[in-house]
Amino acid sequence: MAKGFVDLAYFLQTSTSYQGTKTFFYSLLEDDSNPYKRYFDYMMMLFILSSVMLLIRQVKYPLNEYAVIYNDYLISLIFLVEYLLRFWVHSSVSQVIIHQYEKDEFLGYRFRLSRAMGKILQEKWRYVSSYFAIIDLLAIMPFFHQLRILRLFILFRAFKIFRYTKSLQQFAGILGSMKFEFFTLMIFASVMISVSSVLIYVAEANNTNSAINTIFEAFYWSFVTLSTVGYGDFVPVTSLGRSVAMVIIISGIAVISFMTSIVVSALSQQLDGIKEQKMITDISKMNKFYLICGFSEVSSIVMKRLQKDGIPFVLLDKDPQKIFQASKAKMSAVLADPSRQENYENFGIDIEKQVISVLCLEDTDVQNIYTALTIRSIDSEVPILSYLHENKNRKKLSLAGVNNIIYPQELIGVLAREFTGKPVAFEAINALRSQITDVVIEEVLIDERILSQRKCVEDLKVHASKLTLLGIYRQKQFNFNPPMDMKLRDSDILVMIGVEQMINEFSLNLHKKRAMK
Amino acid sequence: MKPIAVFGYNEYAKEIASNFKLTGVEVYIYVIDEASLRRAREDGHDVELVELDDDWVNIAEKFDTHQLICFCALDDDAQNVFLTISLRAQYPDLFIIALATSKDSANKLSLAGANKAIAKLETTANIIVECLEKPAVVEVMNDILYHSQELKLAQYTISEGSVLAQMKLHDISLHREYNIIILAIADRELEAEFTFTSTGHNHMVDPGDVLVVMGKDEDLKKFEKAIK
Repeated sequence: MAKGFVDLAYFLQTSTSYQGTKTFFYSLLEDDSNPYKRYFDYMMMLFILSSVMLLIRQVKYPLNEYAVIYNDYLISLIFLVEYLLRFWVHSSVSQVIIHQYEKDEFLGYRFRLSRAMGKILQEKWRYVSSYFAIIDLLAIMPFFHQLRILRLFILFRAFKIFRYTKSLQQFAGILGSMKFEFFTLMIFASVMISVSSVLIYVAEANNTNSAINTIFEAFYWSFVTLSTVGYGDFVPVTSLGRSVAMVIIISGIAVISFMTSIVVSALSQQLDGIKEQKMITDISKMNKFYLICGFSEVSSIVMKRLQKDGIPFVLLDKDPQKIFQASKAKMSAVLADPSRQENYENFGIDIEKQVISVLCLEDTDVQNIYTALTIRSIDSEVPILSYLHENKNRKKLSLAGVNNIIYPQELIGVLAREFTGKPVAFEAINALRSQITDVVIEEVLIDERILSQRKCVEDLKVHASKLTLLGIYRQKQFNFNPPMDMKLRDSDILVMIGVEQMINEFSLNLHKKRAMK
Repeated sequence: MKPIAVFGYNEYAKEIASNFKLTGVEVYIYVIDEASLRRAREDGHDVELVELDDDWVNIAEKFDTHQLICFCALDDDAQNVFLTISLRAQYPDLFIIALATSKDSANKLSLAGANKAIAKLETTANIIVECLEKPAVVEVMNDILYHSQELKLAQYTISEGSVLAQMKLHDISLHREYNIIILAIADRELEAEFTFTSTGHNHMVDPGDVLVVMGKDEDLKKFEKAIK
């Protein structure tokens, strides 16, 4: 018999279809990174909402038989299946058996099935006794609809919503972290209520003018008064009763304000953590972006321009104040030292897949070199652009693996020379480059789709589109003012000057299929 | 070539001075502190130590101020503004280019009378963004600016008797013979009002207009002769 269990356990543990199915359900139910989990959660929430709505409706109007079947059987069945699936995937029975078997084998004992069973029960009980599992179970209860009281258990379905919304879970978690404070408060409140309800009972119960006659009414009055709600359906009439009321009103205010401060401080303590968590999920969802290391004067302008053009980027800096400043400007900024390798893992940044290019724009060359080396040690391919502060460090930066070094002194030196020689020409180029007017210099990439229709420069019909074709950039070579019969090739880049919109239109038209002549 | 005077000797000034020296221009440097004086001497420049609140009359003794180009490249923006305004007060016709940290300081320098103020931060940031988004454009621009290829940018003022005068921009076909592209036209020299060829097809070319063209060195020379 014991051997039969072990055989079965080995069979299940090695069966790919069994393990595959189990992994599938596990990921659907528990893994937040599964894209389909969201739809599953939405569907469950829809069932819950419909069930609660039916409960509300049936208070005044009888439900028709389909609604009853839907509410009592169908939804309960779906929830039951979900409960059983969660029960199943929570732990692996076969693994426990195999583990016990191998352990016993190793120690030279006979296989002790009872011990393995004990462990299995322990594991499964951990699931059954968990907070969510209890609510899940209670939500199935309306299935036994003959018991009228169990109808109210439909309300537990509303609690099930917690399972499917992350923000509600986070909120509950925050309140949970304040257990000790709440406990103290509750002790205080319950002592106040019990003392005052006894006192008010003693003072008022025998007074014929008073509405408070039983200990429950006295308790109810104390509760309503302490909570500062004060309905007024029961009021003390004796002097002693009124004195008790005054004391309990003051304590009520204390309790409420204490409670508010607990919730507020818990929220503010956790808010940063929640925001950071959200930032991490947002970043891991981003497709392609520029990684900017360091918030400096230059990088803030660079980011403003990228933001204006709608180009996605992520800023890393270790200074909380700078991150705060960037977040205020609605930039995605992460408080993390860009020169620490583990930060990229912690924040879910996959340099190889997500980052188009890394920009080292920190305040000193030392930091830039260190960051560049960190990036290089993670990924050897990603292009790195770095700001150079002092010319003597140029070689160190390129040794650190920087592909593109920006040395503003040099750039401005060249610009100054160009400007004095031909100021008008310089201003024209400057206007094109910095996009002051609506005329810009743009790149248009030639791809297979364009090539299938257009073979040479003449076919592009640049002239008719009121644009200027400056040249074709091909394999690091710039072909200025190409002749009309020059053949186009895949991944050629057209460098064009014209109104931005017209260039976009031109590019779209190139991709459109034309009627063959 | 017009001579240039550079005020200050930081890394920017150093690059400007060496860039001009490479093209054979006469470069003179004015500094306001001993350390800069030493560094400029070490790099082999003609240099003179001056006071910031000088009245700058000695510049006129040394250079023809109508020909001179001044670069104000002091470290401090406030000092640069002060320098620019003093130079302008003394010489209304002097051509002054000033370096500013940011766009705001650049505006102040323009108000102080600089003909051209270059905002260091914005210029650098623009170049960085361009490197990211339009790498081919940057390559082409670098080729043109660094003259590493024969491709060049040039500007020609249309003279009274030029063959191009009174022609519409669209009708000019002369440049095709010389393999040249006309990028833009400006109404007068030193004014930032352009008409780009791609938008202003009907722009009439008048004498005094400045044509901004791009092409290979030898083609440009032939073109310049042809439009005379």
